[in-house]
Amino acid sequence: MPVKNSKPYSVMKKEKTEELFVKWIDGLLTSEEEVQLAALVKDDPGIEAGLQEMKVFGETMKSEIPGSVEPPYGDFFNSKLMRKVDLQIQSQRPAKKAERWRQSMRWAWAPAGALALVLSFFAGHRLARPADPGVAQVEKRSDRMSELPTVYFTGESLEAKVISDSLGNVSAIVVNGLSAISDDIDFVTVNTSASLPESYESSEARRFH
Amino acid sequence: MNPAIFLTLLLSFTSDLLAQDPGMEAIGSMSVQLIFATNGDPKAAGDLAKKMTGAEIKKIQAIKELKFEAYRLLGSDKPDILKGYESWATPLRPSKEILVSFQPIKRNGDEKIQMVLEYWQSKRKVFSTNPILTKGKTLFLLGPEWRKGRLILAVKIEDLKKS
Amino acid sequence: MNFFRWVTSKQLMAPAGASPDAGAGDQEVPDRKLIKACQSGDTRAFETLVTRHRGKVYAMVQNMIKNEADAWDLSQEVFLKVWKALPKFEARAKFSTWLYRITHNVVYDWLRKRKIDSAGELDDGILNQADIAAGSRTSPSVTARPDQALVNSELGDRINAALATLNAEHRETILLREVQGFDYKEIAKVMGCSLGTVMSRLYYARKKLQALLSDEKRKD
Repeated sequence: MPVKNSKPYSVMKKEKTEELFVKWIDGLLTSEEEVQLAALVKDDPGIEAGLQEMKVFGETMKSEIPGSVEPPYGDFFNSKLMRKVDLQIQSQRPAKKAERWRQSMRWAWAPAGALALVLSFFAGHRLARPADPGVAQVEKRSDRMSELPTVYFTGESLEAKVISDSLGNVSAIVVNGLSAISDDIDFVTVNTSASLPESYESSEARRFH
Repeated sequence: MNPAIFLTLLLSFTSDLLAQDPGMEAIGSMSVQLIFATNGDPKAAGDLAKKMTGAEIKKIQAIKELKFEAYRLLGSDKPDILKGYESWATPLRPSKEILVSFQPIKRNGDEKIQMVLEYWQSKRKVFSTNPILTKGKTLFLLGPEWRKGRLILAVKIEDLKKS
Repeated sequence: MNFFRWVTSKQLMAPAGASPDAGAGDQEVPDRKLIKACQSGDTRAFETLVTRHRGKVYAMVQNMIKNEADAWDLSQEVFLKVWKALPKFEARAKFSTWLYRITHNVVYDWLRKRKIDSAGELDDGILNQADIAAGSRTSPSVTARPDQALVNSELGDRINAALATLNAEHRETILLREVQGFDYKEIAKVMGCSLGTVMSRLYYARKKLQALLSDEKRKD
């Protein structure tokens, strides 16, 4: 009779043993499995100490590593994300309109002459609506101080000073604490190590290809 | 109707309705200059650095924190401002050591636009900010130290379509 | 005349698990209702969903790649993919498992891309020590808060350092189990692997951590 499981016995045994150990640490052994584990521990008493240590480290991980961390500048996180969502929605609208139009025109092909007349009538008109503005209008004018920008840092301890003119327009942002650029760098030699975000490559491709 | 004319009309009609990405529209352009400012020898900036005009220097020196003895222009870039996408300025092209990315968030009338501006150094994002920029007005960012001076980014909306 | 104000740098990290924007009203609406609203195109419902879950996603991404700047961007990418894929989400499925599945894909795409860019430098741990030092949450902060101090504890540092020696699959498995509290089946769904593989990875990860952390203890 052909053997269904093609794994060698030793591999199966190893996998089963590992499963027992994992489940013991997680407190999920069935009574049958407890018996199996007890037999293993009897053969090698060192197993229990090792498993106990693993259990303690697991519990320590739970207390030392938070499962939830608010991303820095949560309001900015949301506003930037929702902007991308809005753009995604807008970019789909013309395609959906075109698809609906194509669907509706399928049955109208029969009299080609009549169709030509219809099309020639519409040819002088733009049926596509002007694209919705991608940038929302501000409805209310904010007060002067709230128009000054916020500066968000990405992990380094930096300080920023925002300077505005008497009209409340930002004129300078002074950032202190930035890592100095090595004097050896001459900005003529290209640094090719590490990659930049996809949006950089797309931006360059749009401009230069 | 002539079949050729009919086909031409049909094609021009459908091309209007094919999916267009409104975000790709350029609504203006942004100039990003990188300036070397020092109280020491401006020649430290290297041979490719250019002298700046008196008017340009005066504008920078009007801000106390940006006042230095000498300034040199290291490089500049002038990418488009896209309605819905991030644009990148590489003022030291071909070097990518200092980069600036920007994307419009909000339009504040015909002359102003709020942007997300990100400063990148050594291919890492260092900080981002959300200034409201006025067409023709320069925003200066005082950046890192280099060769006994500081680098200053000058960011300005050069053109902006009416809203 | 110039006016100015000082803005000191700060990392706005709320206590773990807290969602500062979530008010009492937000807690009343279960995920499945928000998802249904999102599927009808309600972006406000989506933003509520984001606010509710962004902490978990950011923590998971951050724990996997140890780079705050990229973790921020990758978390954005996760939610953008969520928005695009929500029309296909089936109500009977568990949202958190699905969300973590997307997070898994985004993280692994980033890791693969990074591996291509720095070919040949990788060992058992995807990250090298320089990366941990540069991007670690435990880098000194001007204003450390008590909960931040907990994360910055010496033991926390050791655990993070030990985790960084694991490869991505082992690290993710143990994070999903110990930190996120997923059961084995959920982990298998998130990672797209079998239950047996989950068990094996968990065992290996725990064993390796035990070996590293025991050694550390003995040195003390």
